[in-house]
Amino acid sequence: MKDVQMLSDERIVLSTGTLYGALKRLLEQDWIERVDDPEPNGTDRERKAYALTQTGRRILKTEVERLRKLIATARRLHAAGERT
Amino acid sequence: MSSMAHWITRVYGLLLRFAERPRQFRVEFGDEMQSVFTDAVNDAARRGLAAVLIVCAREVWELPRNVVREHWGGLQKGRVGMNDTAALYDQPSSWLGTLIGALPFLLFGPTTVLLAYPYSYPRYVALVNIYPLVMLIGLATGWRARWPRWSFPYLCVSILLCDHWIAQSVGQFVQSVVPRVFGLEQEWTMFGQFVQSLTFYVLVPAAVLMLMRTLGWLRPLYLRIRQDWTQLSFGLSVVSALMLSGVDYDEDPQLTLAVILPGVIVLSSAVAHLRSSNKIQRVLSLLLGLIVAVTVSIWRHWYYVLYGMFLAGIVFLPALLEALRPQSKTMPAE
Repeated sequence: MKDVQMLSDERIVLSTGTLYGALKRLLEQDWIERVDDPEPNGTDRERKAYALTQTGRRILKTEVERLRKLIATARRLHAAGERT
Repeated sequence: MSSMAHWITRVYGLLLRFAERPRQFRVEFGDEMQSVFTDAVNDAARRGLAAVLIVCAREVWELPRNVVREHWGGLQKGRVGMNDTAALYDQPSSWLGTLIGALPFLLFGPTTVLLAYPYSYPRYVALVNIYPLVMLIGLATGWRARWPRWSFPYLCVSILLCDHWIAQSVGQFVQSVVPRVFGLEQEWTMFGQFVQSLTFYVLVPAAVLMLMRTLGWLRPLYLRIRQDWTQLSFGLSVVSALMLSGVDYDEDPQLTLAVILPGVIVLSSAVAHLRSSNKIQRVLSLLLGLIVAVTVSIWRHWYYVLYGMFLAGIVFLPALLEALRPQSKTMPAE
């Protein structure tokens, strides 16, 4: 949750319910999988970690590509708008 | 502050438990959520009371939305897909699924009885008219959710009503129209009734079975029934609510406990069925419900013994098939 908050410049602050609802859906879609926690947390509470699957990586790549094209189009339109 | 954080995480644990997210979700993520929330509260406690309150407020604010979304997600998937193993069918329905699944029993049982007294035909007829709409909505939702257990009463009621209408039309046609075509003066009353029964009990069910096997959009339903026949028993048991909550206007009906109780018992057995976690419990909940409801009905009239036998036959035939099956099968992929 802290990572999401930090990566989004404090714009997105998740509750645990929202976070785990999203994790559940990503697991069901086979976009992420459970993995061993690479960083032991030093408490007796077991922590679980999640990582992208092959499918997840592919989806992420496609989505990044889609957004890149969208931004490029928006920039072109913006530039054309400024010229006129 | 640490004591307060401790109490807050305990309250959160209770909230997780009693907010009744789908059980499967709680089992899978409950501990992790508790652990992550504890970390978040401890972290916030270092920044002060305001930060702790913000963390708590965020959880409480988003809780209803998350609960609804998880339950709805469960309904959408029908709790299980076609590739799941039979063990997943043993999971009890969620409380929302139970509520929706029990609605037809409530409508055709206690509600129908209460609406029928005292002799209030107009009110009775006006409200009963919304039943088909409720069944239609339940049927459409069940289809979208890929036929979870709670959808079977809607399905069976709808099929039975169509079956009844088709059989009656065919019977009427054979009884009155066909003799006229052949120039006969007498109607074929007996033959018409025979054809009507044949259509109701054999021809329409066979046609429905054939359609379920052949039509792609109905095939998930066919596979679902094959996976666990007790679902069909549950769906058909709505007939118990219908038959045992009948009001005979010719007999100067009085609203007594013996009139309303059978419907309530059948409704309770439906709830018990949906919340049961294995096949034996499921069949027993329906069977006990029917036995007790028929026993109570016999106080009103002896002929409810015949009703009971008839109901036991049609309702428990699928469950019997399930009991006779040696082992549960894993269904092939769609």
